[in-house]
Amino acid sequence: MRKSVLLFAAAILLTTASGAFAAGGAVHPVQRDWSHTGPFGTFDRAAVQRGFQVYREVCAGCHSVRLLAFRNLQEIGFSEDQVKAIAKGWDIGIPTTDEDGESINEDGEPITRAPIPSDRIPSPYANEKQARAANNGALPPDLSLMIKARIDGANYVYSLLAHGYEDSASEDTLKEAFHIENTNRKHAYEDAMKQYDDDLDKYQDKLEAYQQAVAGGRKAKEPKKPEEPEKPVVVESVEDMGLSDDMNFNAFFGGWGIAMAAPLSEEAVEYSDGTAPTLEQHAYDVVSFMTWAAEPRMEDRKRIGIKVLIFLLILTVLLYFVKRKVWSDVH
Amino acid sequence: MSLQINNRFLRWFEHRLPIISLLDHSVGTSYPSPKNLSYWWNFGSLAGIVLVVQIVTGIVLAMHYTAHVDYAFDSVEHIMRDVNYGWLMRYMHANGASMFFIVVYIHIFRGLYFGSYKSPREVLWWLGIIILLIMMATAFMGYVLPWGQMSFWGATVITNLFSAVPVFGESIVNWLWGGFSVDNPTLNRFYSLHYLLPFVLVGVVILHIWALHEHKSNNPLGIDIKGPQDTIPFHPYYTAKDLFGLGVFLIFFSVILFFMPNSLGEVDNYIPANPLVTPAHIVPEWYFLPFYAILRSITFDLWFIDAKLLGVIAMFASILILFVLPWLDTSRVRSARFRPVYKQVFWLLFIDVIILGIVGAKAPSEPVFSALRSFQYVDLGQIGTAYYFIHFIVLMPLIGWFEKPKPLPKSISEPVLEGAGE
Repeated sequence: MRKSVLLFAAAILLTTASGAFAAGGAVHPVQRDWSHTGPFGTFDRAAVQRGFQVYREVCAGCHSVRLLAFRNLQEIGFSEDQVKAIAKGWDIGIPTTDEDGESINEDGEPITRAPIPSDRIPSPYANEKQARAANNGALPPDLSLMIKARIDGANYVYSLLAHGYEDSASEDTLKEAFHIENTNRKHAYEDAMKQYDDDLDKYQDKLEAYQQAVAGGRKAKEPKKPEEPEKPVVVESVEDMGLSDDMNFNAFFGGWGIAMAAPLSEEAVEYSDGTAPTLEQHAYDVVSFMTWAAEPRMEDRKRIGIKVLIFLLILTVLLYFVKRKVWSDVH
Repeated sequence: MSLQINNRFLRWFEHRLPIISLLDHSVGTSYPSPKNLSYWWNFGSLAGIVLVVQIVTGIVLAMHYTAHVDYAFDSVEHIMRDVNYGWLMRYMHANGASMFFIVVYIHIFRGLYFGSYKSPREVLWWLGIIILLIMMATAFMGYVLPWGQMSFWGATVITNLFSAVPVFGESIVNWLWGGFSVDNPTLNRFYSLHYLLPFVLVGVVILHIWALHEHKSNNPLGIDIKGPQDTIPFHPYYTAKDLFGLGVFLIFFSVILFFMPNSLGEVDNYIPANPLVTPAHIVPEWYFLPFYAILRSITFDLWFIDAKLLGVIAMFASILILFVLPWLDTSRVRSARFRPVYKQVFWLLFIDVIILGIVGAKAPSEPVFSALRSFQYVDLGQIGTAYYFIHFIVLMPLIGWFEKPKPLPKSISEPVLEGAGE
């Protein structure tokens, strides 16, 4: 009995899990191999460094990484001098005051100084309003925790950047997106029709009451006939999705429309280590960087975890024998 | 067995404060326990240990945390990034909460299976339910502290439940918030209470253990201790057994803590709280999901009670009903081993709670099966909720009356049944 009950529970779990899979307006992310996954996974330092370059040259124009300080870059293999140079050469300065204690200069501009390694990496916009004003009303999110703030974060951001936009999406991805959207539209239409049928019945009743009232010479309000829902357009192309003009199609983004235009393309960044500057490589590198930024202590965590587990396994085996020994006179 | 103290200083100390014999009577050689306790009896001491882990890690976190809406989120990230082993403390504390609930839920289901709530252990059982309620309040307020999106919106949804109270609802909610929305005063008082309640918990745990020691542990056979031949001293037997169990538990905890520390959390809580953006799905932590499902399954008014209030009542009732379980269960036999019908129903309740947990995680309007779209999670939740209450209110009394229990063994030390094989 117990076994069959557990099997039944497992079956329910499976069917509900698979049922939920197709729902929602986005394609399931492409799964890539990452060096940082698994119990022994570490950051691919070269990829993280290249990813930082991609961030600096492409993303940093709009996106902040406000939880990172320049000094943190030493953890991914930059030397102290390199970090100093990176900080000093950063486009945006740190607000400061001059010797008179003024925080704005004669032109009313904020007085700034070049960043030093202990500074947090400055954000491209001073505040949310400025960010929205510069981006058609959209707010470019901070990237510090992006990978941890999305389900299957690394694969999701990678897919979005490398395989999600109309030009970079594969035929299969587009087909899947259209299929999901068509299913959703079909269901929405069916629900609307059901509602319409109900409304129509109610309307008939009201209409009869109204006609009787009129026939009897009483005053009454004429009921409004419900409108039949329109049949949905079958999506066969990105255009059929009906996104607004300031939105870009992305197969992995919930609701299909993302304000950010495709940020990466082939040769968007020139690598000094000779790595081929493909779109996929750029996406892989910047996601590696973002994964590190989201949890810089991940390697410590796993390294200590392995040691703790080995210790606990040995301890627990010993404790098992202690328990056996202690209980030997009871059994 | 009485305690022999050989060390002169300890004897001197014991004469003035008999704390050594107190410990000895609590967890030592002078505390007789049934000799047949299975590994299901490990979870009580495990829960106590996890409580200590939570208090220790929590106190360290409090040294670095800032309870202010502008700094809370960043102070948690400061702990994760800049504080030495801060990530370890924070992950231990966050996952420790989940571990606490896993251990306590197993402990409760153990009690349900073996009838540990029955006479003379009703007060012990009550104290356990009070512990569960305090735990829930503490965990809920702790989840608000990182001030992520789910912290904020979870706090908003749950505190809003009190607005269902007739007449005074709105006043109560404003009083809870300390304002007109979840804001800085709310965060501050939650922090204060989150620090206080664990120590209240320790107090109730001591009462729980006191009540336990009065009548000793129940056991898998569910029969009383008849004499010294049925017991063994707690130390070294159960200390050794508990330590081995602790090792196994720590391995499980470590796998989650070190290799999948975010798997039990919601990704949305890594987005700073934003009162202007509501997340698509507001879901509580996993350990609240069955109760959340019960809350949301009430979509209809009943007489003069509207659906929202009824949902809140159902949610609280789903736990409070446990207080009267010792009297709803009319069977005199404790252990499900000798209760063929109850045994089956127990597992049905277990599955029901798992199903309610799944329902709690889903959007109510989502279809359960893609082939049958009219059957939504809210429907499954209503069935699950109805069954949950039927189990306690209808099945427990009825089964006690109609079930024919198997013959009980004479005593723990001679579990040989008379007329076995009948």
